[in-house]
Amino acid sequence: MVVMVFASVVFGLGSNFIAEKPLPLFKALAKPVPVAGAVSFTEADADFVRQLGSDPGTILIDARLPELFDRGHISGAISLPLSRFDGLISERMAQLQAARLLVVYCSGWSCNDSYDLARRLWDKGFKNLLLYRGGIEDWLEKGYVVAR
Amino acid sequence: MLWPDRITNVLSSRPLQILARLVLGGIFIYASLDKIAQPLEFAKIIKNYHVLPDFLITLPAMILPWLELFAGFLLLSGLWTRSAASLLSVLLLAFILALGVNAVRGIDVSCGCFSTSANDTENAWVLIGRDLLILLPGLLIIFFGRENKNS
Repeated sequence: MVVMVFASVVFGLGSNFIAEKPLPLFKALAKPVPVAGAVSFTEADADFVRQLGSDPGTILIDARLPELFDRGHISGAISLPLSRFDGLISERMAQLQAARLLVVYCSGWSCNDSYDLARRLWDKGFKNLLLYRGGIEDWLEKGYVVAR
Repeated sequence: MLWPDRITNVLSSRPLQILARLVLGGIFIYASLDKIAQPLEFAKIIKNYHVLPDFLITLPAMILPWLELFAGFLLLSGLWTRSAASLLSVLLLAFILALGVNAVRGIDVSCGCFSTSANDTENAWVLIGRDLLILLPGLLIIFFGRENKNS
């Protein structure tokens, strides 16, 4: 068993060492870096999103798949999956246009759906956007409950 | 022959032991390949389990897939089968524990079992059930494997 573990450590660290983009050892994963020339959105944190949740002029938008939305979302959020944006945006247009502020989120730090959805909304003319990059992951880490 | 002896004979029979080794070894070799190819994606999945501090996430992402691969090959080759099965069973128990923590929290995570896709999200209780099933051949090898008979 010791040989197996030793071989795995050697191969695991060795393959990482020769990898084109090695993972950092004993360091947190880097957060996604915005692409040069991309639209930069103001980011919101969990506490701010929580305050905004009670504001009738704010709409929280969940960019994840509907199945994930059904299993738990931030209370008051609406589902607008990035993958179904083109099909759903027309029926959501009036509702979104009536909002003063749109806050977009997805699963967490490692997902890009919130940014991509915000970018699609930006292209549709919505400039009143906030990005909650921490998403559900950060929301749960803060101990806030999700609605089902 | 007493019933317990008959059951022991069946469970320790060569065909059943070989089948258990093939199933467990095959599953873990298959499960390791995508993770070895995409360690960053696997690290993100480990992060989403919320059971390890951020600075400790990359180390298991590098090592665990190789452990699964080597142990899987040992099971298929018939070498050190009880050690390999013990190690994989410990890994499975660790996965079950991590999934259980998230199931209690009400979070459905991408398990990273057979793929590193973040969209491969499944109900945590279903994943725990699946892992418990995969644990069975491991226990069969550990408790009824040939190496155990003479010990």
